[in-house]
Amino acid sequence: MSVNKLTSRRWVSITAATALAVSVAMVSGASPASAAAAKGGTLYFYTNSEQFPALDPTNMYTGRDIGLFGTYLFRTLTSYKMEAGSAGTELTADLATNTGVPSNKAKTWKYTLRPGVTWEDGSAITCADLKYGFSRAFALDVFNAGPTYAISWLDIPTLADGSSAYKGPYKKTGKAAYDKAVTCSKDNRTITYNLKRSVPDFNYFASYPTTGPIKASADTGDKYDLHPMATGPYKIKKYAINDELTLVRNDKWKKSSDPMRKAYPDDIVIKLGMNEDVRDEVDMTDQIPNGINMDGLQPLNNIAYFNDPTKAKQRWNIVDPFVTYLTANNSAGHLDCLLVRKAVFFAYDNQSLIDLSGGLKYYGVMGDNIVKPNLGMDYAPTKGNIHDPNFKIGGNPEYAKTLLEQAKTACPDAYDRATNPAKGLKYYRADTATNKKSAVLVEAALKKAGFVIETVYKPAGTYNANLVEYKSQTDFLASGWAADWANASTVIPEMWGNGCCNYTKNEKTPEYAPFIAKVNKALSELDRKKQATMWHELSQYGMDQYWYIRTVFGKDQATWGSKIGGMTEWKPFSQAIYNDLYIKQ
Amino acid sequence: MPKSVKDAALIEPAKIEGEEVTLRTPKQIALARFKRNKVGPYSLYVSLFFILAAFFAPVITHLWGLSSTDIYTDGLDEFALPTGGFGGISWQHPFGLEPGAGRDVFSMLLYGSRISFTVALVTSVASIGIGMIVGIAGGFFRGRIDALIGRYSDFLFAFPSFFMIIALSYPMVDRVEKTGIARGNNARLLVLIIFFVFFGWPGFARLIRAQSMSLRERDFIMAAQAQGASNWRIITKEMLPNLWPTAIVFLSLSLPGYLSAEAVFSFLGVGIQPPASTFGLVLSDAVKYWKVDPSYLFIPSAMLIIIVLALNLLGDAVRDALDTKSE
Repeated sequence: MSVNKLTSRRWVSITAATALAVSVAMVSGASPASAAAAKGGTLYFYTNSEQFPALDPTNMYTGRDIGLFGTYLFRTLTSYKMEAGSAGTELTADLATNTGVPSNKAKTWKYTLRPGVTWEDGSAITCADLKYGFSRAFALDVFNAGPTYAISWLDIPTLADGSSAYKGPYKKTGKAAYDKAVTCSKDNRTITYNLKRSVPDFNYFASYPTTGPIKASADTGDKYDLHPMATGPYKIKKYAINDELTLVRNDKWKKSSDPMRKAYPDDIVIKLGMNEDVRDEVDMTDQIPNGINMDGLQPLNNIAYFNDPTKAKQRWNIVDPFVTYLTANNSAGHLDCLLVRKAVFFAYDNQSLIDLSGGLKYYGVMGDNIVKPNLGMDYAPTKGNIHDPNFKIGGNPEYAKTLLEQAKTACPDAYDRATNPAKGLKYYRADTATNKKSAVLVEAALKKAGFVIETVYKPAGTYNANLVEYKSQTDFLASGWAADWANASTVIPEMWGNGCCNYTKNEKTPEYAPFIAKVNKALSELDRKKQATMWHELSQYGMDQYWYIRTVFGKDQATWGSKIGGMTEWKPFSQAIYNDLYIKQ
Repeated sequence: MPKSVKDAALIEPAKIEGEEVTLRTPKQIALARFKRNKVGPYSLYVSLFFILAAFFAPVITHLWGLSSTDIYTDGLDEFALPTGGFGGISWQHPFGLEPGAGRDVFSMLLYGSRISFTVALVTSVASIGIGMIVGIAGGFFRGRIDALIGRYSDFLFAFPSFFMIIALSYPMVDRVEKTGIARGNNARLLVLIIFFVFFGWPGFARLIRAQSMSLRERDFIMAAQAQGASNWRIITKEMLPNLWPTAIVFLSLSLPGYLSAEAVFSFLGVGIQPPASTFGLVLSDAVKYWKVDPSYLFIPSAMLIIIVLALNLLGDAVRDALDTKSE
């Protein structure tokens, strides 16, 4: 949802980006962990969400959860350094002894386990556990929310229908091929991944919980989500949906095997399903001084909180790694006409929509790309769209009308659908208060330009579950995305190509085939600079097609209680460096 | 005091010295009683004022140079809150601007009251229509028909209608849209009216049944029957004229009821959806803004209270005027 980033963050596979060389505007100072950091106390988090999108590492794909549970519960072969500034975007070894040894043009990656690493039951973590954990991502019938890189990269034959020959550990199909692609050394300590093509950034992927170990004997399939086994300094004591998640110290975790994690609090309680108004009140009146708001405040409360000078040390306002966007349904019978899509873009009243959600100061600015500037070399300003002289941030209905006039002759069917009162465009949205408000603005702006548009409200609770169905019925969908690591390979193919989350329905348009050919070429390009140039071209290409109507480069605010110490931004996730958090005594 | 036309006709015009007393029809009597009521006429004027304002909403907003769908961004600050005091009240925007979206609250409420009045009026008239037919059928024919109708309305009375409307509104709207009768807000409006009527008629039917039962035993009906009048004639010519006052009283009392019921349901998110606006929608939105823009909550609340109060007082006055027993 373009206006409610928090909601979108909850459901889309929004993940972390290695934010490189970006000016991160920290409005207020959050002091780095000082010498005063002390062990003990209970650390609270609270959220409006009733449950986590996934606790099972295989399905975990939201940036916040990777940062949070990657710190407290699950260890992975590599990890982002738990440090402030750009050091935080660098990798370090976690379960492994180093960040990986590539060979064979980065088609083979080798990791050796650190000695003394154990499960919460005291047994040693072995190569077999890593191999089993990695294999679960192939069981798409059980896990469908996690990243799919493992499937597209491992050297396993592809079937005629495009799926992998290996179907995961629960079915025996293709096991031999998997055993060949992922091998363990005799001492069960070293794992080798054999890939189809060169993947120079495999080590970044190795920091994702989905690549971490799972003990086969403890695996309960889709029920594992309720109580996954811990490898980090804490373990799950209680997980009750719409109530709370309680983490207590994992006494089998040894500091000697994990120099990085500090584990200050004695236990961690995450309150789930807290009413939004109650949650905001808790923040504003400091009712839980040792607590952190996981969602951010509602827009109006946010403004009030950020205007309060006494809260100066309990907040930050940063550029986050997310791009929120409005997808057009590019398939036949919908917005399959470039002129109509362009007309929508120019008619949109972006100013009012941004103001409604917190203004330029707190919500974000108009984007000209799906790659965000914090991706460093892969971002380049595009031409056209918001740089078009006809673009007005408050909407330009006159220009939109002239575009529609051209569409009348160029693509009469699409024109008729967009302007005929008996037909009209449809925008499926979750039935939430904020969406109702922004629908007023969207409809007013589009009607001014001559469109016929209807907002269709769908029950909020089941909206996300039905997205796959909705994407072919609606003309627009709103969502958000952030790069998985500092390479547009985790953005452009995922958003517009054959990756996980392409909602544009552009597969059958004539522009798609040349696009995907170029994407595949860029993916296998080993020269990073050349690859970046190719990404620039591809971003320009997609933006010119208006596959996305508009993009917004978002901002993010965090607020916390007065007794929380060590709040510093962890750049890859735009979250706290959870490792540094402690309770002020 | 004469009880009906026929009674009145039996009374000899009284002769008082010096002046002649004219015989008054029941209508005149009722009108005189209504005028005698202290609040009756005023509540009538206020109700009429709002009903006419709703009816002529497009004309009024046009004359004022406003539109209920336009976004007046000039009056909003960087966080989309109205600039200026009291929610941005000015000569141009007499009730201020809507925080967040920037529509004119005056025209939103005028258009909103159109929807509210439509729901209230259509629902009341339809409930009365059905209630009248069913009530007369039960009261006049009695026997098995009456028993059947009675048990059915018992069932409807016992039904948790409030929860059912909330639970069933999504699927019902879906179904109505699929049949192609109406789409979007029209479908939601239709479903809401259907629900209201479905659960609304039994109350009135009971009232009418009881009245028709007693009317049936009256002398003039017996006389008509003795002269061989058909059932149809008895019902339409003899009974209906005596039932109208009840219907009018019921109408004037149920209007404000349905008006506020519509507000409650749209407040809860059932019924009309934005960008349309009704009292309930504006109020549920205003609740989120009450700290920063209290007048956005105050103005629609005050307007709703005045309308409902005026209609209620009007209903009371009409009942006092028409219902001879209440004196």
